Amino acid sequence: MKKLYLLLITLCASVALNAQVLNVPTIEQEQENWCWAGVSKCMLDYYGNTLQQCEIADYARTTSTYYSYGNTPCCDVPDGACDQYNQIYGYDGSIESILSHFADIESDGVYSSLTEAQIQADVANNRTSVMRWGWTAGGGHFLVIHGYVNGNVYYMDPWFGEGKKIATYNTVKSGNDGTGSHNWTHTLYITSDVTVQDTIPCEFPTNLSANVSGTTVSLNWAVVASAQSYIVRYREQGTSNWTLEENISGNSIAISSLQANTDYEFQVASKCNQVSFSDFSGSVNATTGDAPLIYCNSRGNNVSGDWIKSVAFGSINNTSNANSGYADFTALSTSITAGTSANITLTPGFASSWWFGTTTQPEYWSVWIDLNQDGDFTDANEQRYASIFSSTSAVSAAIAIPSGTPAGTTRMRIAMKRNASATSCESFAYGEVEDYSINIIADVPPTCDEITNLAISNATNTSLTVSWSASANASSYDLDYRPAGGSWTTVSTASTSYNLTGLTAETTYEVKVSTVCSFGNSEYSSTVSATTDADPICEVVSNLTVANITNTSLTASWNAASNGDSYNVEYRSVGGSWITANTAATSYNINGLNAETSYEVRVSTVCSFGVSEYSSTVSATTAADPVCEIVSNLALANITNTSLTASWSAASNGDSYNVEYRSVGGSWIIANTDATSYNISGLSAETTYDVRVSTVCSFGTSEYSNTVSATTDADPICEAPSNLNATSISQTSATLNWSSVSGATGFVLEYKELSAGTWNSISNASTGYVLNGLVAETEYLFRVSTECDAANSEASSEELFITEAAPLVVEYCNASGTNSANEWIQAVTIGSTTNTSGNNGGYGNYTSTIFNLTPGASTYIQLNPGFPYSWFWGYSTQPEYWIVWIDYNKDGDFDDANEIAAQSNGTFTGVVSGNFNVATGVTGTTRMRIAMKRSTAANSCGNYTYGEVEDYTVDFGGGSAQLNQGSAVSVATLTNHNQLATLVYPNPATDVTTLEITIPANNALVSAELMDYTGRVITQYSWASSNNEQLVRESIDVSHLPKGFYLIQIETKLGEKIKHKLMVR
Amino acid sequence: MKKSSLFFLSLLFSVVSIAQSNLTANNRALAKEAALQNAQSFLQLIPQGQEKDYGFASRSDFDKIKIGDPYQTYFMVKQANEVVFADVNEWRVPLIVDGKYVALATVKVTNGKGEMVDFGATVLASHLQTFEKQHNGKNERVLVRNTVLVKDFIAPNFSSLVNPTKSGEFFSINSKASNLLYPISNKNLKPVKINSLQSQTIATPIQ
Repeated sequence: MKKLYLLLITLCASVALNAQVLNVPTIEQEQENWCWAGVSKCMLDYYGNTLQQCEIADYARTTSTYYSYGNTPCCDVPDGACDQYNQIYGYDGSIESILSHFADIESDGVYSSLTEAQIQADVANNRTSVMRWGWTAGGGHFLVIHGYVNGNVYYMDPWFGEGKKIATYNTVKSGNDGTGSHNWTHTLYITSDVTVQDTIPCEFPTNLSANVSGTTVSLNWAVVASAQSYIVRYREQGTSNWTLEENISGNSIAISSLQANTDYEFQVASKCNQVSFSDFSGSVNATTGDAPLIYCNSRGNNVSGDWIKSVAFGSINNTSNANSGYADFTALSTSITAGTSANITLTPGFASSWWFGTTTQPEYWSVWIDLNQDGDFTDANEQRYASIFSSTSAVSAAIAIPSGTPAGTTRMRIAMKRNASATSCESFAYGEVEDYSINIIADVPPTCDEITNLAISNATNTSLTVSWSASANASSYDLDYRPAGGSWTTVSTASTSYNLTGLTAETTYEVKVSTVCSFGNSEYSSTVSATTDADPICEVVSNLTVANITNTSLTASWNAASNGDSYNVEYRSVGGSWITANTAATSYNINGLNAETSYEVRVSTVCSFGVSEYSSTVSATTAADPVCEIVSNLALANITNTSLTASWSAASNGDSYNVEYRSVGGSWIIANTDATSYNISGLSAETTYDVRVSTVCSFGTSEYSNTVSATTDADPICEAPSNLNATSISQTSATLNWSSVSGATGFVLEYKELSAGTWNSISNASTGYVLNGLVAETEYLFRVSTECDAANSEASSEELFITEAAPLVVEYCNASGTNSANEWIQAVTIGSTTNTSGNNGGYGNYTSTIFNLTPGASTYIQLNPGFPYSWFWGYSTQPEYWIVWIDYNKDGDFDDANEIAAQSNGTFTGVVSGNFNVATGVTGTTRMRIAMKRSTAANSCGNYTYGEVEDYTVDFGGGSAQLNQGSAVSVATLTNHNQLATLVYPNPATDVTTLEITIPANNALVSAELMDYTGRVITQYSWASSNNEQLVRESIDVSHLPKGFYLIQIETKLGEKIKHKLMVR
Repeated sequence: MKKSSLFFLSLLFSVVSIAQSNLTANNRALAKEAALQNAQSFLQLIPQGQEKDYGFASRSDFDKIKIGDPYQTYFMVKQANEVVFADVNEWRVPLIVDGKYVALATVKVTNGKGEMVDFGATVLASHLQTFEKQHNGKNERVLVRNTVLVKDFIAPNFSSLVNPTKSGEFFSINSKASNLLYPISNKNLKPVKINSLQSQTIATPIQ
């Protein structure tokens, strides 16, 4: 940053005196917060990169990380999220970033304003800069600086309506005085080289003007935008040699010390850069005045003790205090008219000290005025005051200016000298001298001149504009006017033009003007005259016609008339009074007319200045009113006990129809319908009704049609249902059904317990109902009545049903082996049914397994024990005692007579079997208990150590109501099975099934084969012959077999062949 | 309060009001006079060929200028429950050529002295003339700038500014904006007139 300032200082030194205005475009910000986009566009356009503001904003939107401008492109929706603030520098998307991105313009920012020299340096190098104002009222604003001339800054303000402006540097910097509307807080200045695309021509200045003061000529000219400085040349008229004034920074210069009373010629040229100069402008001539007067010196040499403290004379009131013995206050002046006087007050100043206080001195005062303006104070009467006595305090005196003293500015000298009077050119020891200027006003009165160039313009029918050239010394003007030959009317105005109004058309008016001065009026000017225009014509309308005639309205239309603002439309029935309406249109719809009536219509034009004559009258007759027709063909049909339908033929102009009906002799009831039929409902049965219809039109209602009559049907008969029955009777419910009935809309079901006095009632739509919540083993009555539209039927005959009794709940005592590790019940076979139960831990509840028994039949029973196997010991058999109970009388125990169905007569290590006779006279199901106990017989209740108990259900058939014990039975004595016994379990099998074979000692197992149903052998097993009882268990893998039925065939040494069916799934 | 006290207060209020009114009228005259005295020196600063940027068809129009009635400038600030209209002693004075408002001179009036400090704003000048055509008759003419809303408003006089009776008495200059001043001053915000703007902290270099 320091380098930058060094660079700027260097630039300032080289170009500080140059002047330039960069011709940037005027840009108005397009959105409320887009001043940053406006100044960016201004600078980019100037440097040849034309862009839309929304394109600039969209760059900020896509790059800024400081502000969010939304997701919508700014050229699509500029006034949405895109209308956002922005930074001047230091952030992506800021103005600094924008200039770099679009135009490779590098810049830097500072938190301060620029000095005047810095602005000049930038502008001289074609560099615009961005200025940020902080509004004192809140918010901020960006502007573009683009020029500097003579302490004035050129800037472009994008604020709505402001644009390119010129202001003093102090105003631009801080709102004029630092307490105003804004402060210049930040600046973005360009650091890279920039070029302007368009070459700006170097033109010579125009509007060169010269003002002369003595021998000094002040020149002014118009600023040239591309000029860095200007060159002025001048010479005495008639000579050939020019004198040059170069490197003029502003657009003015004062050239002094010229020859007095000499004619000079001046020209100016622009210098746009070191090698580019414009031509010189045309010449402006000026003649110098007298040479300035040179007055003699006068002063006090010591002001340590006394001096002139203050001077008051006219508008001069100068507290000067000590000024080293002399002070030139000729910049201060006061005006005084010759022949008048004014008081002067002169006050001395004295030294003071803490010890002596103020030490006054005796002072003498003298006042001179150079009345004849010849450069001295020695002419007669030029000493206008001299104190006679010394004074230590202020003195006052009247200073008179003699009448006839020439006008002009001259000098007044005041001397204060200690102890003596001074002369006008004296240098003295103690005291002081001061010079002032006096503007002497001649005492010859001024003239009040006549006006010139009196003219009349802008004539209308009621007004004229009078104008004239201004006259010197005028404070106002008296304007007199009249109709030609009439009386004058006077108006006063401060302006040099006046609009005479309220005049008469086509009339000639005369005017004259006199100048009004503070000291009198001038003569009147010569009279000029003009004639007002004729009044405009308010035209009568033409082509009045009448159309769209109905029974109540018609439309009048006509051609537009010149000068018509609106039209008065008048109409009446023939012979009646006129009715007036006004419209700005050229047509008017007249409503509310009577049918079949003749009307007259006429129109007049309404102008701003009057109303025209009426047009010719046109006539028209309104149409007749339409007829509302009476309906015909009224008829009644679809007659029921509660309704009937009326229908009729459509009637002309009918919008709807009023249908009226009543029972004969009753009051009429009215209904309205748009259709040509109507269903009348809610009628009483077997009643005669009258019906009539009238037509409803938009303009009235017709007479009624003829009346037609009809009688409604009688109400239908409602019968009671028949064929009542109850089915699906359980302990708590029953399904009740009955026959349907014609005309039924529903049924009422009533039921009650037989002994109850009150019926329970249920409404039901159908002919069946499931009655729940009943009490078991109870007699119920039910009956049904029919619901019809008119009334309900009588109740049907009553029907009885009885709910089912609740089943008997029987509980049995527990019985179990406590150790089944060494023996268990492997399988139970009743008849041909086998349940292979396996080891159940001492007790197996198989009451869900039902064996069907036939009362009185001899029944085969086989019981297979189960024993553990080891490779070392083989099967470890135990001596087992078997008992089978059946609870024939279903009383929950097995203690009653005949309830032991089978019992082994000792202990056996193998399968036992036998036959028992089932009791007769038994029905239903009951429990069967089987106990296998090592060594001794088990009881039906209680636990024991080794063995197992299993419970089953046996079903005798014939229902479950049988509670009798039944007849005596034969108990099966179970003995050693002593035959080949086989089990296959589980069956059906999925993965593995077990083949278990028990072979008595007199036999021996030879082989077993697994075959499919075609007889193809899949697997074959064989064993060595043995003379002992054998128990064989063989696991057969069936997991690989297809699903289906298979056969296992076993063959023994005695030639027995047993087949088992195996299902694999 | 006794009637005599009420009368005295009423009299005092009237005197103060008249004094303020006279002061405003005097400053208005000073603003007009300053514009008249200094306009030509600013016009000479217009670069040759850029006259149209500053509202003039040609330099010959410089000799035709007349001075219009000044607009007093207020800055509008919302503070708590108040809408403050701050008088910064600034006037915008129309410069007129052939009856058309072409530009505005900005004049500061301080200690009884007017100084023209700024020149330009041709479009704004045109807006002001349009406003005047729509509202004939003499009025005080007030220009209100709201730097937060980025909007200028015109009102016939300060009285209608702080006591709005109808929305038509305020006019937004910006073409995009609707009439916003009235709703703001009508939202239970007390309008207050002050004679200077209090400086506010400026922290971030943003728009």
